[in-house]
Amino acid sequence: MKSSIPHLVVGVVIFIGLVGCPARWQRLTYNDPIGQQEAQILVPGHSTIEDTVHHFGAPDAIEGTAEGLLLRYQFLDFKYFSANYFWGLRFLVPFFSPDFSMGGGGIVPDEFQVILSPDGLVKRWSFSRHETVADYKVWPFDPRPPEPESSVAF
Amino acid sequence: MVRTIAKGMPLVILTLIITAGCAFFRGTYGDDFDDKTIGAIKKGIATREEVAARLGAPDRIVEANGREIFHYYRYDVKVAAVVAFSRTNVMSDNLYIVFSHNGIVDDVIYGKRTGKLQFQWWPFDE
Repeated sequence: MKSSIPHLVVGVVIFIGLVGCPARWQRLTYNDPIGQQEAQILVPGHSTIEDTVHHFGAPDAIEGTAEGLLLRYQFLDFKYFSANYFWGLRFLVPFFSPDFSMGGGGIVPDEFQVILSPDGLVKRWSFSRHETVADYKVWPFDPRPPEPESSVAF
Repeated sequence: MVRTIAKGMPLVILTLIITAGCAFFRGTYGDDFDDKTIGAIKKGIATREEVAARLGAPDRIVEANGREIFHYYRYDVKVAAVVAFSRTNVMSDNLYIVFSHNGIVDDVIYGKRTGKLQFQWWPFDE
């Protein structure tokens, strides 16, 4: 118990020091993510719409396609970091406190899609974009030189 | 009296220190779904008019594979910020009423996610 008191004091000092901190870590999430492993529970040709709703809840959108109903489960992760690197100047030059902020982040919208056959069985499922991971970025500049604009049409 | 105030001061100071730089916000879009009302919609019996009378006009009407679907939705947002860290969690509830070609309820699909929505301030966990 005795040894935890200095830790507590250090913790409180760090906490007070961080109040008004020039750095910010922000995150926004929309619905719980659905992973590849969870999706394996749906067996094409066997699982029904009831099984799908039982495991994943009601979808965010239902649409009609040429193959049958499309259930769309949407989720999103947004991470953003920002820091004002001149924040400390106000203590050195009280009458001049310019801001110099940098930061960055990423937003990854993802979607789990289930296509049902006309008889209500799961035909197949897929993810719209699953490899990308949202992350906090301290340095907003791209180390590579800018690339020329490119576009293709088939 | 003075002694009581003096005794309570450390607690007040500790509370002020802990809550400095904290913020909590809450927002909702749409009415909460009533389980009883949804349960009263009988498959194979209820009509489009009865559904509209019980639940109101849908937020969206979807035409899917020749069937009409009433879509009702609700959003809940919880924001927590502690010092330099903040997290915003958003979840949705969705209710779909699928009608047969003759306007009778064929399917009811309902999911409530917002019941497990939490205030979280730590932005680094999975």
